[in-house]
Amino acid sequence: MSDKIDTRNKPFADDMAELEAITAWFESPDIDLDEALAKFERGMELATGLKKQLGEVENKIEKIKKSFE
Amino acid sequence: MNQVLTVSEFLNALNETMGFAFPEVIVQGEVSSFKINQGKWVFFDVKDKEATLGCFMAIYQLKVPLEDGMQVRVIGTPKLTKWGKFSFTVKRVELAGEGELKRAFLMLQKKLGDEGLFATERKRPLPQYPRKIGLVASGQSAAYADFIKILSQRWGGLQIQLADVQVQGAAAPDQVVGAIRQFNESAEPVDVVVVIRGGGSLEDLQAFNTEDVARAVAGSRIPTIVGVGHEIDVSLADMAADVRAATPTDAARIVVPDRMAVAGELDSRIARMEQHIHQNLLRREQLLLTSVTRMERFVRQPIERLARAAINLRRDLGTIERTLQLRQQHLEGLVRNLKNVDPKAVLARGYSLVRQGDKLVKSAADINTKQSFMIQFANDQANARLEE
Repeated sequence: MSDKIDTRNKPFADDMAELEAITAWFESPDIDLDEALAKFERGMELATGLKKQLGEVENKIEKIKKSFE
Repeated sequence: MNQVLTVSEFLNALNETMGFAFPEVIVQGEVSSFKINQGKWVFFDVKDKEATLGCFMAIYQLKVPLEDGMQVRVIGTPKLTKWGKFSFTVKRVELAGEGELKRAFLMLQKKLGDEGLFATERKRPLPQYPRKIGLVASGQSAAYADFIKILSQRWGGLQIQLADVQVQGAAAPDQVVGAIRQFNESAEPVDVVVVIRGGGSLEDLQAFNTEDVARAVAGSRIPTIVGVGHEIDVSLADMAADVRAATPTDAARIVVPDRMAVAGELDSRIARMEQHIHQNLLRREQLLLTSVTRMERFVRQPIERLARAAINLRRDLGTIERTLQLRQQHLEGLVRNLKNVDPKAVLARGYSLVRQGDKLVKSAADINTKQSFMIQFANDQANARLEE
């Protein structure tokens, strides 16, 4: 897992869903510590990527060519 | 001499003249004798107090629900049929007045509602984090500007495809329907279709209360959200949408999450994970401690028992020692006593023993005079014989 993952090409929803799944896993009783640490690391990575995406402020507006007139 | 015309020529000439004089007429009046033939053709009269105009139109051109007694404006051209009958060929019917619009609204609402178009079971959830938004709006409107403004405040990285349409007037319904269809037919479909229009009178909002627009919204494969008018306005398009927004800005608030709230959620998710790991570690530490304590107890107990045994032993040893000492003292006393009664000691003091054979002679009468006897002193002895 490198930090070179291009978050822009990964839809926000997918990463968020993965993070949600990871945090849900943590709610289960008797979690394995090694697995927990690995998952935490992945969770942090996802959260950092998602936050980076949140920093994106620009919205692109494109007027479509109407095919119905 | 006037020119002689065939019947067809005459009717054609009249139609041309009327078409030239009245290329498009708008006539207002009350509907009566409304009927539909073969599911295709619509016949009705439009009348005022004194006169009646027979109207004809194709059903696909009728965009508003009609019934007798409604005030309408019919837009069309006058025409003579090939049977020489006059007919007003209607291209469009508009409802004339709020009351009529309200009535039409209720009629259509009932019809579409009975069909299940507004049913809750049909409603789909909108994508939580859309990337591509198909926007049906007038690009010049304040509603559009508000929508974009709120959208940008809340979320970024969006691709917004704007179908710039008329949201009012005769062309509006077809344009809105066309835009929704185009988004649905696109090779790269958007995640959600947003239809918005600012506030206005019931007549202004009429496009969103037409059957075509309501059906297009309900039929969209892509989830839809419709925000038309002010909070108090409810349109049929609203009701047909997967999600109804009260206003265009409300639609912006619903269609994308707020980045601040999401950032907060991310933080709290991380914090929760950390907390779980921390708790897990604590639990392990406690478990370890318990195990160590148990082990310690296991080892310590025998040691303590041994120590106690050692103390007991030491105490017991002391007791034994003391007992021995006492016994020894006693013994020594006994020895001393014994020493006192030792015949040798008595002899040493000057006494002597008399023995005859093995017997100790305790009285002169016991002496056998015929035999010798022995007198023992402390250090030596002497044989003796009693003389008669």
